[in-house]
Amino acid sequence: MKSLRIYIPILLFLSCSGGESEKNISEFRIAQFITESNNIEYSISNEKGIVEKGKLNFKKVTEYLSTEPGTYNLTIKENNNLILNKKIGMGKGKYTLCLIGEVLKEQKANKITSKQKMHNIVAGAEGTTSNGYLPQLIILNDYFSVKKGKSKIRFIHTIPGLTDLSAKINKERKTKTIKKVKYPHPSESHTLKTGKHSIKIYYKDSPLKVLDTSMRIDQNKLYTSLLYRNSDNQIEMYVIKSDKH
Amino acid sequence: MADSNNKLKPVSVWALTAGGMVGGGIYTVLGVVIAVSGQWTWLSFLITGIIAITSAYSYVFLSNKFNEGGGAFTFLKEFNDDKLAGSLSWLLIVGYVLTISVYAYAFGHYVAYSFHGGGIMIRILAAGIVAGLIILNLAGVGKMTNVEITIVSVNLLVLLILAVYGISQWNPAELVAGIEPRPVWSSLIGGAAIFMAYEGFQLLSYEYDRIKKPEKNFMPVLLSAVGFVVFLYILVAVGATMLGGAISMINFKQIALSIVAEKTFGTTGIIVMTIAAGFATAAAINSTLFSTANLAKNIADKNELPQWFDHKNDSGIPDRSIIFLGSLSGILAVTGSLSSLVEAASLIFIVTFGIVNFLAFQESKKHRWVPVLGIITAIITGIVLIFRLIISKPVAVGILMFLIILIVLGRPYLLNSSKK
Repeated sequence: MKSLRIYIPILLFLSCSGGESEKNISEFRIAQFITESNNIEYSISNEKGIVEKGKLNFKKVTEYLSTEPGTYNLTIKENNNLILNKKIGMGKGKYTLCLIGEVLKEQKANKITSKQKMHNIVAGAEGTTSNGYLPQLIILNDYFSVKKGKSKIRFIHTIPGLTDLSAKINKERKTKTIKKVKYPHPSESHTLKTGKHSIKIYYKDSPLKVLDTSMRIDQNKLYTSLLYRNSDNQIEMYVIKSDKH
Repeated sequence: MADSNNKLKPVSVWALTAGGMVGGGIYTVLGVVIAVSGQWTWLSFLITGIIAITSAYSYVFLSNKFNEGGGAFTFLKEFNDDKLAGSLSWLLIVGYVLTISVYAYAFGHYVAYSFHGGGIMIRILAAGIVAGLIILNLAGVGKMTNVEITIVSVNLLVLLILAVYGISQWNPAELVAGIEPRPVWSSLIGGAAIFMAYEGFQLLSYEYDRIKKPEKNFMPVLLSAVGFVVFLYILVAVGATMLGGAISMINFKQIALSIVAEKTFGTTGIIVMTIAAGFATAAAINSTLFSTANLAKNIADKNELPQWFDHKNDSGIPDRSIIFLGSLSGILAVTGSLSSLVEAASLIFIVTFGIVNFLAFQESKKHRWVPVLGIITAIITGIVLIFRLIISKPVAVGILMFLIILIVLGRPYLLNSSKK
């Protein structure tokens, strides 16, 4: 009996034919939300050479680009000035490489504050801070798991210097509240039913609404809602979608 | 003393040791250490494993020497350091309560995830498992050694299969998937952050008088079990990450191994992993609660805790300790994420292990390099952990410091008032 109890999980593991079966390729897209920077050049390379390069204006997102898993070098230039030069790993799966912050005049590459340096040392990938609102790369994992027929949504506050925000998502009298959307971290993902939802963004702990919009939710998708400030100083939302792997 | 027929055989001691460590540890800490150490996560487990192995040696050495269970509290008593024994034992109990809360929270997360449940379901499950185990323990059926051994065996096997399968799919890019590669020194910080994954073996030192021929069996069995767990953690750190990818392990750190199982084996994987994690965390809660309650009772028996704790029900169970400590853990688990606080509590365990190694060094005449190695790694890891906590979790450090001051200053006063 005891041995049976031990062998059941082995048999279960071995008998199953594999799950989500992610393809053995990396897919990434680049989202340009460095405030008001309209002349951003990106380049992704590995030891074999440049894999992808291009130009992006503010609030523009590339399509997913495919490459083989490995370690890559990402360089970001603004007006030909190198502002970010990062080594990143990309495994199989989908990623959004989100560029946020604000460029200083004569910005040096990879400029970081002392606070950010200390957090990098002690917390690594979880040590992201506002970095004094200087340009930085936030890597978003586009993997998600959701009940069939539903979808997920997450918010990202990309507005340097603006206080924390909160969000309320409403559909047919049911409201989901995301209490804190803090620069530059993605919020937790929340499950939504399909259909039209109204979305309201507030200053955190305040009844003051900064955005009132609506969006249609389809099934089995991850919606990433990037909150940014437009040239009229109004807060807006740019939504990008990912399908289930 | 336990009846000789009911004594724990070497196989049982081995399984309970490994289960006590793995039960809560690896399910809750993997994402944290990957975030800090990236591709060097395996080295983090190895470095911190050195403290675990050397401390296991020192615990057994001192238990055999004094021929008594009770761990650090008993050892310090034998050295006539009553003040430190009392204060450290109170801090250890705080550490255990927090550890139980985190195990309960992990139980809630793993089980809720398989039902696509959210925050409320997680909290209900966390509170429910603690309440259920309090009731089982009060009824005298909490310590079901054979059941625990079966759970541990299945749990170890599931983890081993996952790790070996992951390594067979060799894909080093996954170790840094979605993150920046980390420098090798980060392994020291990562190890310090997750030290609680190794604390479970000391529970067996509280069961010393239940072990069959401990003077002969305890040393090889405990050392081999701890060594195996270090090896297993290293395998899981590499294998599971190669299947799940670093960024997913970090983003879903509360349920990292379910994500790996889901990505690799689909729904079947989730079912198996939920069962394994659910039973493993429940068993870890159970053994920690049972041992901590017994420890509290024994400490009260030696007048270092209020006499209120030195009470047994008709089944011979330290009922008040179980209810008090279990309820406290349940309440903490319901309040939410405690990872910062537990990390701070890891400091208590590192300090305890450092002290036990120091005592073993003082008492031993041969193999003194073993406790010396433990002392050195404990000091380095402790300093690194304090540094990490001050930078990234200052509130948790503040709370821990407040607790230490409260215990050191308030304990004598509380003990005096309870005697009146």
